[in-house]
Amino acid sequence: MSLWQMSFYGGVTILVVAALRSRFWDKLPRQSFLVLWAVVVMRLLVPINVGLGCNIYTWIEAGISAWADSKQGFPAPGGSMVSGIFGGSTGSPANGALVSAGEEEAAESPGGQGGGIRDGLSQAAVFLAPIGKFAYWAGVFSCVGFYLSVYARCRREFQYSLPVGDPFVLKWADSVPLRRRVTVRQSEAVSAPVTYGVFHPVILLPKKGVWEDSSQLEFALAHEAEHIRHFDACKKLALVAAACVHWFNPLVWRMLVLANRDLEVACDARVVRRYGPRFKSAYAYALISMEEKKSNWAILGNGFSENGLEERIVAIMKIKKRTIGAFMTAAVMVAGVTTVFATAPASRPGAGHGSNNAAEGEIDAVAVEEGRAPSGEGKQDSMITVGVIQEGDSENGYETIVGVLDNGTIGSQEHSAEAGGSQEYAVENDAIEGEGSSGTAEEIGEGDGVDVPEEYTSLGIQKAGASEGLQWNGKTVAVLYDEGRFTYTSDTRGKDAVYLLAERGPEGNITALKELGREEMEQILGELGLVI
Amino acid sequence: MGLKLFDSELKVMGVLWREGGATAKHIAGTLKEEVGWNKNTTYTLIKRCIAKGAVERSEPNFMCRALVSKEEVQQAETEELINKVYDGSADKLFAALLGRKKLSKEQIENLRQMVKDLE
Repeated sequence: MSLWQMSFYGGVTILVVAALRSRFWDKLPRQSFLVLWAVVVMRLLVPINVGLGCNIYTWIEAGISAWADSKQGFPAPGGSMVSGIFGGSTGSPANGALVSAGEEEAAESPGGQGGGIRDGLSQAAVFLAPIGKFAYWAGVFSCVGFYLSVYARCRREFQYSLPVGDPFVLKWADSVPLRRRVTVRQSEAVSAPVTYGVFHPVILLPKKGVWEDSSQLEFALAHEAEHIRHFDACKKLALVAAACVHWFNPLVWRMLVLANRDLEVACDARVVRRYGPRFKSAYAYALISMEEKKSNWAILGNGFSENGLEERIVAIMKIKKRTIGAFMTAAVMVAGVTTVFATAPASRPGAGHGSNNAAEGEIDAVAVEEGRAPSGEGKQDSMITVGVIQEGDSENGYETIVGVLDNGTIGSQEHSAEAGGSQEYAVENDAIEGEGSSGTAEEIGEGDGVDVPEEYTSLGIQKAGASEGLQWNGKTVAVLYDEGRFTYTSDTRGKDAVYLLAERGPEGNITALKELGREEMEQILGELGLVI
Repeated sequence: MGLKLFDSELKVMGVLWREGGATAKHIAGTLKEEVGWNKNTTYTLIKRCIAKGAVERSEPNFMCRALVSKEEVQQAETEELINKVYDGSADKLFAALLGRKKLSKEQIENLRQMVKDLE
């Protein structure tokens, strides 16, 4: 799974969680939102896909396909375009050039129907890929560097902390029911209680502000102890890691802010539960007092500070007894959001052959015209530049594989699941080797060479003999291209060769065969991924 | 006017005021017992005091002598230190520290009122 995909799914999930959170934050245990944030972080950092079918991306894809089906006669463009948007687990048809740049993230350029756009993008991407990569890693290093420097500065100053002599505190530190030993010290460098350290946690108390009365002190210590107990330092680290990796995604930064707030409120809730609901107001007042007595200088904060404290106070006052009902609702919500938003679309079963190869960069997927099956044998030895259309899925559909045979004709082969057999095509250096059953081809193909549709013969196309290709006005046809319907190429290249482009009227009836120069035809076909 | 020293630096001075003069090594050893600082930490503090003009160093042995008396020294404002440490950047790593703006009296009152209302 690529970085972009993870960022996209993660971003969507963040939006959903943020929306749920603002709606239900006081109706469901805060813990449940922490679980959701954990799911998001996993989604952002872990490139594994559990390819379930029931998620919103699959539904949207299906919806768009169905719509495309109803609009047009043939499903192929809609289907392949949409799967390109969301990128199933096997990846959207990879662009060979991008993949050769060696980066997964580049390979997932979403959308882009038809070879033309994709190829244009691929040209740009090949050029930009190294720049893009550099910019990305520059961003990552900047973020990581920033956090590391802040952390280093803090730790440096914390080493000058002084021990606390207060007997109450010492007693508290001894009685804290944690397997790890907690040290409490005071430092001038902090304006509010802080804790750091995973294996040897330290709580740092500020010089002023918390000592006025012992209940305030006790609450502060209890709050920090909850952070320690639940390894919140590690959780914050994971959040920061996700933000550094996805620094380009603004939603991830939003998550950082919201998730941090949720961590605080969760600890508040635990403290209140430990002491009992009668202490809600006392705890809330204690928080306010500590805030009040903070040092006078305005510390440039994150601007959310006022909202943060207000949200905390309200959350504390609204803590309710945990009920089974709330728990179940929360569980359902978590499971639902995870499945629907945080998983990626399932690999389409019909995508087995073609897309698998595509994901490895072996085939340029292309919207291709129908052709006729090649001559009866049905076994191709080598083909040049191929496109694959998926229609339906592997159970009820068929693949049409198009290539240029080495006798110069372009052929397509339909492989229907019903006919059975499997065919695998591998592309190596532009040559495809096919092997496998020939059942289908025998059924469809008949005779030799290409069957020329009547509408072409009426414009001057003639078959020059059983296996000699096509002629037009006395010249040998090198290429006859009828967009969306028929493509013919032969290996004639001489002066005598003619390159024809079929032109059609508004109703789709053929009007003329236009003669093009070789370069022009090369360009047109090049956009489709065909080489002549 | 006097020198402004932080708590940590005052601790170093405290040793010197108590004992007159002492080697850096001795100060480090004392403070290791008293407050648990390692040698490097103490040495850095001593150098800071020297830089501020509170301590004089003489060789051999890194002898230290207080240049100011207790009365002459003022407690430094800790806000400066906090600003220096965090440089205005909001904390994202630590559990409880947020670089928060100080709330106005009015905002404090509003919060208290909110608690009362929700009780």
